[in-house]
Amino acid sequence: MIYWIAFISGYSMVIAGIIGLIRFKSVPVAYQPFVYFTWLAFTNDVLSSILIPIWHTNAVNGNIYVLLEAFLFLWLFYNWGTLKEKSWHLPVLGSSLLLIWILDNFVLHKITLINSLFRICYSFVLVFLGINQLNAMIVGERGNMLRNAKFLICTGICIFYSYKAFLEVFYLFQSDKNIPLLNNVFLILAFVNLFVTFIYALAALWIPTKQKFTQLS
Amino acid sequence: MDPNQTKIYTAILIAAGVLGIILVYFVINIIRQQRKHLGFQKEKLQAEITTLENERRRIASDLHDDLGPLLSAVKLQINSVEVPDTEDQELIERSSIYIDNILSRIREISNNLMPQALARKGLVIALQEFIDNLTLGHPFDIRFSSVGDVSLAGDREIHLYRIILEVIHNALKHSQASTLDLHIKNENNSLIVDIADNGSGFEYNIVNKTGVGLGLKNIQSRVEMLKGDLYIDTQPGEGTKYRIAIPLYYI
Repeated sequence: MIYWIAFISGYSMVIAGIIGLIRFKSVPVAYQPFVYFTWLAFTNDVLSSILIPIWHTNAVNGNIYVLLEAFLFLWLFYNWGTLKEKSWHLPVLGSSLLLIWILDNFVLHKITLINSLFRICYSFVLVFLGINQLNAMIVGERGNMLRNAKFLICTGICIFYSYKAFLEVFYLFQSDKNIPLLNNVFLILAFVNLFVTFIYALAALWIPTKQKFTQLS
Repeated sequence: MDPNQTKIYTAILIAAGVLGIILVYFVINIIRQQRKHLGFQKEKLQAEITTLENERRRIASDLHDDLGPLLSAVKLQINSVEVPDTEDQELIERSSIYIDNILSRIREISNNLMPQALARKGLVIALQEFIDNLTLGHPFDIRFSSVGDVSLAGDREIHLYRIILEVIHNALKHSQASTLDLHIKNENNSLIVDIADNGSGFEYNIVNKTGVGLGLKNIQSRVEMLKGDLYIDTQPGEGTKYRIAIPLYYI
């Protein structure tokens, strides 16, 4: 049951992916990492559906996916200017995350296991970046926020990765006896994911189009 | 306690901590963003005021230094023309009077834009001149006094002058005051300006929120530019008291 809910929830990203694909030519460069992210998330879910029946785990692709996802979001925030205030922000954050990922998947644990350390760290980073961008818009932006793609994406990031960081703490303290509790906590994540992919779909729909320039001819 | 239970409690505690950290970060960040935004708005407003003052100075200078002498030269040349016809003579005299009027109006406009007395004789004389002109043939009574050296360096004096003019203008136009006390003193390395009128007063919070008091915003911005403090004590029907404290030296 949980598998199927997670399955549907995972595949729901296809809506945002399709909207992104249709609108890709008119999407400004600053928003392209978001479109790539929707495709990546969808691809990872397809891959998980293929690999789980064979290997009984999606740990390897999941561990690689979270690293790529983290970098895509860093790229997105860099494009939006959040990481441009100080020139060292992006390289320091990027290399720190990469270091934690290597530590988590090769030194402290194996890549064939679903590891939580990197997931907690990158969730924190993304939530902080999302909050920073969100607050800047709340304070300074004019216009309808609910139709603002940046606002919607940041809201989605804050909701999803806050819960993800919360959830991963439980996985850190995992034992055989608390698996039912973990399943319930994970089930909530599936619903959170469903809600957030709906927000992402709206965001993909309302990404502003590229600025038009009049051609002289 | 069962080790498994301990694990669950620890996990719940840490997970709650995670959410707590996110919440605290959200609150701190929104306060920081708000301050940043306010700072940006303030800088923008101050840049506008500085541009306005520079433009006023330029126009006043153009009127006073370029147009004034030019018109005086025209008048001189017209007056030097000798005509036998009395009608023509009258025409020249009338033209000369018109030129005098234009010159006087130019001086007035130039003075309103950038008071010459302020640059040449200082704040006290400039204020006294303004008050004398304002109360001339007007039932408005302004009692002005100053103690000690009340001059400010450079452009700061023009901002203080504009602040006082704005307050007087508010008392006259919006509060329908009949008397106003203006006192300036030099105290503990600060310039203290006390202004009190007997007008209708106002509800400060309402005026501030509704944005009706654009003049008040202007006063606030200029006081901030001077790194000073503004205190307003007012109630509807009880007049208005302003205290402006400007540091004479600041880093």
